[in-house]
Amino acid sequence: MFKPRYLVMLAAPAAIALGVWSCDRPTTVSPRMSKPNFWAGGEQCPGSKFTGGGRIDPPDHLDAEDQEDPQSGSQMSGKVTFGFNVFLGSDADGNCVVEKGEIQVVHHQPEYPFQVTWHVSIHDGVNSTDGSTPVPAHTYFSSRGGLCVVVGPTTARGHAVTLGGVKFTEQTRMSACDNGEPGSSPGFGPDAFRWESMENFGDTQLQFLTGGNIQAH
Amino acid sequence: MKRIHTQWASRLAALGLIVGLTAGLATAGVAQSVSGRAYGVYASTPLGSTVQAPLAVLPAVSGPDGGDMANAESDGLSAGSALSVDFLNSITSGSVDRFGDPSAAAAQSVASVGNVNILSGVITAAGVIASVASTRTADGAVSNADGSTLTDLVVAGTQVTSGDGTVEPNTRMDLPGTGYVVLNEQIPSGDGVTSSGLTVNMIHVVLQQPILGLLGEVIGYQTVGNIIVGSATSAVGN
Repeated sequence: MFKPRYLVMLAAPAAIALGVWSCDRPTTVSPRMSKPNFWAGGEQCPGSKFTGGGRIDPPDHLDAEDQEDPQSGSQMSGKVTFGFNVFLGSDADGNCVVEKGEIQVVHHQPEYPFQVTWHVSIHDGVNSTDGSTPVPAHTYFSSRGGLCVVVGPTTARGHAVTLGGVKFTEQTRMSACDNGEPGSSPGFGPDAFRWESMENFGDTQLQFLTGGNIQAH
Repeated sequence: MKRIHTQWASRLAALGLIVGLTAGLATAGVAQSVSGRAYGVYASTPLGSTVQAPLAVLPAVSGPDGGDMANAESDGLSAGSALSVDFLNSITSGSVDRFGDPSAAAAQSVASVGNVNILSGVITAAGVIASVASTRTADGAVSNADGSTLTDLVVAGTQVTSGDGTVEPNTRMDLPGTGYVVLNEQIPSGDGVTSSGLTVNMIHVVLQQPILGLLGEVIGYQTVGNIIVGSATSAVGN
């Protein structure tokens, strides 16, 4: 038969343990991270998401240390604003892919009036523009202890506003690094972003943010 | 007597359990919320209807996998003689939970506009970018407007920026006969500990008309309209 003192015996230690646990846990989060146990490198990636937005000013604040590949195509310069949200996962073969996401990038050409926009949309694991192609992705650790993601190459819908309103599609690739919070401080960095227009407008290279933030999860 | 002691002990134990659970959950972090919005222009004038475009609003974000993005764009827009602009883009994104830290959250918004012409040339700019970001970690909540700039801005014949430049937050300039303009208007919110938010309006024109007294003298001014170019808002909190 249940007796009240049993409740006392069970609840009191539990309450103490919870209180101690809540007080003892560290309250700060280091921006530096070690590789998680499930990290295997290669094309695999943690099931995670990346979100970000802001501005870079190529080629002024190059993050050469953490740029994975050399410059592809011409140097894109001027102001570039962007926003994105991508969810990563693995396909049947264990390759890292984007399960769903959106990317919007705007290149404000230094010689106004001229502007190019790109949009990438991914649903159910495939690029919505071509309707069938999976979108590859991979992650790597930056020299600052942050986590970077590379999405693509994948098809983007483009729009060059003053080239007669020309609309086009092309292969693009996005790189983004979360190196700490906040993502931008007066000046630039520590987070970084790269946009590669692989057929038409060149490569920003990996640039520290002059505004905004990138978050890895 | 023994029964009374047992009842009190039970009540104390239950109270301790509640306190412990509450403290544990509080430290573990309660559900975070993020919000964001951005738009290129807003105009509400005595002679025209209200416009606000292109408007991007961050959808509701929640849960450990919460994250989203919204964007809107327009090639050009005009509102009579009050305003004409080109190349409008608005983007906002946000998420909760960073590297398994349930107290973390972030939102960021950016609005960009080109070829700005306000009030038939009273204010012109080659480009405007409004950029804000809000983040919360275990160390606190902060917001900033880094990356917000005005390109080749001229106000009532005065060159304010040459090339891509910034001005001090909440810089006010009078517009005789029209009202005044606030450049890089920044409106903060939140307590800086568990919440933080910021709205930046890069160009905010306040249209005013004089209020006349019985003898026709000016006894004050009333606001009759607003024009905003380049607005971005982000906020985090719980």
